[in-house]
Amino acid sequence: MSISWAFPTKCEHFPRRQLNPPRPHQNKNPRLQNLSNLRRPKNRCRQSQKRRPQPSFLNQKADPKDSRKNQEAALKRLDALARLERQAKADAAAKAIAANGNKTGATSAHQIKGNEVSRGNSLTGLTRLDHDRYLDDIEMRIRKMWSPPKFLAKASLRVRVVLFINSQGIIIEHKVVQSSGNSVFDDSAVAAIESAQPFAPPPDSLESLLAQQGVELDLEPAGYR
Amino acid sequence: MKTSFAVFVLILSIMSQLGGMNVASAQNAGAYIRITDAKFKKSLMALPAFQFQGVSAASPQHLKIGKDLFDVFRNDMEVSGYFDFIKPDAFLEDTVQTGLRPVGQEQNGFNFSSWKQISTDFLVRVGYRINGDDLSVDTYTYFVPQAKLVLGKTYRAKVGDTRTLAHSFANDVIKELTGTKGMFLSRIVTSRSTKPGQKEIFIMDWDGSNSKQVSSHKSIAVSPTWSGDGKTIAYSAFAFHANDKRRNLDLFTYDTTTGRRFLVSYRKGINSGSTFFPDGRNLLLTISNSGNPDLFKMSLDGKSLDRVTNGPRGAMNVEPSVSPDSSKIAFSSDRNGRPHIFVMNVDGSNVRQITIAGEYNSSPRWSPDGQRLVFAGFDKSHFDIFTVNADGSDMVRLTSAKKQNGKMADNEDPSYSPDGRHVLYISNRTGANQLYISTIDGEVERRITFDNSSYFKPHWSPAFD
Repeated sequence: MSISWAFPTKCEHFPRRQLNPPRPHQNKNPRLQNLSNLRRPKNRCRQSQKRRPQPSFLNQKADPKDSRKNQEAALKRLDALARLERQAKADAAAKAIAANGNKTGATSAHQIKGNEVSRGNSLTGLTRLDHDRYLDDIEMRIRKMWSPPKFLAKASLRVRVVLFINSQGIIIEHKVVQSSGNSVFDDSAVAAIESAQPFAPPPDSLESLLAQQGVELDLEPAGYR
Repeated sequence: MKTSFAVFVLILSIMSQLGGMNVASAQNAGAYIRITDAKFKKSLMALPAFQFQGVSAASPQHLKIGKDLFDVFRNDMEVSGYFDFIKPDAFLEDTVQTGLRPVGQEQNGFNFSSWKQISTDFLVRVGYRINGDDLSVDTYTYFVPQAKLVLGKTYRAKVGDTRTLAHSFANDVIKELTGTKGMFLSRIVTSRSTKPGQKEIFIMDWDGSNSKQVSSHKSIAVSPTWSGDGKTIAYSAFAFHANDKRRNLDLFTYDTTTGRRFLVSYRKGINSGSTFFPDGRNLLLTISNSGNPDLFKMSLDGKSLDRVTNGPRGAMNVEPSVSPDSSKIAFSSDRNGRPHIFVMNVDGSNVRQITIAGEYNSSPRWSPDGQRLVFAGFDKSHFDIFTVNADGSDMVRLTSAKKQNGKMADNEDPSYSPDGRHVLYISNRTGANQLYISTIDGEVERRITFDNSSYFKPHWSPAFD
């Protein structure tokens, strides 16, 4: 059996391996003839727009440079979560020791304080889901509002902005921590961030983190080839 | 016991904290979002009519020069695909009365605020003066959101070179915004039908103007190609060999600066599909006098010949293109049954097949940065233009057009612009083959020729500045 390969249509990217193309719908049963009209060919333009590479470490089709950056991004996110978890566990441990009678002295419950975040939280399960979902929401809102100029599409620019958000989802402050070197590009990113607010009110586990340490936005749009 | 347990817990907590801090890079924020996707959009350009700045009133001839300057520049800006234009009736200022510079620098200057109000990104103010045969043009390009002058330059030329002057200005604007010059001074060489059964070689500007015939063999001349410095053209034409009493496809070179023509290779059979090596000292072409049409590297005088491909027997190896760094050759071959695109090292080793889909893939050409190839592929019923990475990945279709009868049109013979932002090709959607260009993302397409002849195998020149 020969597999017939297909050329990409105008809006689609040609994948390295293509699964079996859809067979024409064959309906021998005349009563079901009309159903064949329901099977319309897929609108590949819309599909390919949905399938743009997402900044997720699960995207295996990313090229090595992208996947390294995505992995770094994923690592940073995991680290932030791990730190919060450790702090929460240490707090719980301290409470347990204190509750069991503090016969060994205060030093045993003394914790080394790194970046201090809201106490008494544990970020597992549903809380972690809220955390991820909230950050994804911010990302989506900013991405919708951002239209950098086309003449910069091939310039490989990157700007990093730290954003502080209050408990109502309004921006307290934004700080450009790493400029792209191009003020037009930086301005377009900041304008997008400002116009993407108000964001949703953050979940409790994130509230003080967002207000005090903020969230870092790493904006590096890939232009077209 | 309890003391040691407590110390153990203490040490554990220290180690876990330290461990955490080592792995994480120093950053203040605890949360991190990375965005690698954005909808790039065109910038809004305000381009008022160019101001005549002579002492006396402008003659109709002067006004025509100003209009030509304007039309050529506007067309260049539009083709770049970076700009949308604000309609003149939306302007809040009378640009005939206001000066070319802002209020602070000139008494009659313009106000940035009246341009900001209509969301202008770029404002271009131009004035021109004509003194006999001499044309002088003052240009000011402003980025309005920052009230900044991006490019302020004066151009001078003879009145006969109006179009060239406008193209230079367009190139400079693109260079200022993107870092690389535009292609607006480039040209096209192509084969074009003159009479039934006859095709000759023509050279024209990239926008189709200034078309000049440069061959008159009164037979069929095809496959023209530019040398890397843009001075020489090589092409093939059918010539009658009196000894053999037959026509043969011979290779010629034509020097565009001196007009001199040379017969370079007249070996029996095909001497065609030629392309220059980037250093301009050798040609790569298909020669068939050894039996198979194979690729040969040939000196410019036609004498020294190095074989690059060797069959296999019965196969045709044609339409070569040398990569800009001279390391690889892309060509079309039917050695595996149907014509497909292959890439090999410049010495002929390591031949690998690039296209696997389709019935007929041909005429590959490298992009100026050597990363991608453009070619024509036959898809079920018609040819379309595709670009692909040099390893065969990430194929993108550029064209899709219908003829008047509803059938799909053929788009063939593609060629990159010298700045790599556009692709040139022929299309028969209007009936006969006409020249079209498209941005490399396939979004903006432009027809270049508007006549009744048919064009074949165009080649985009190198940059001429």
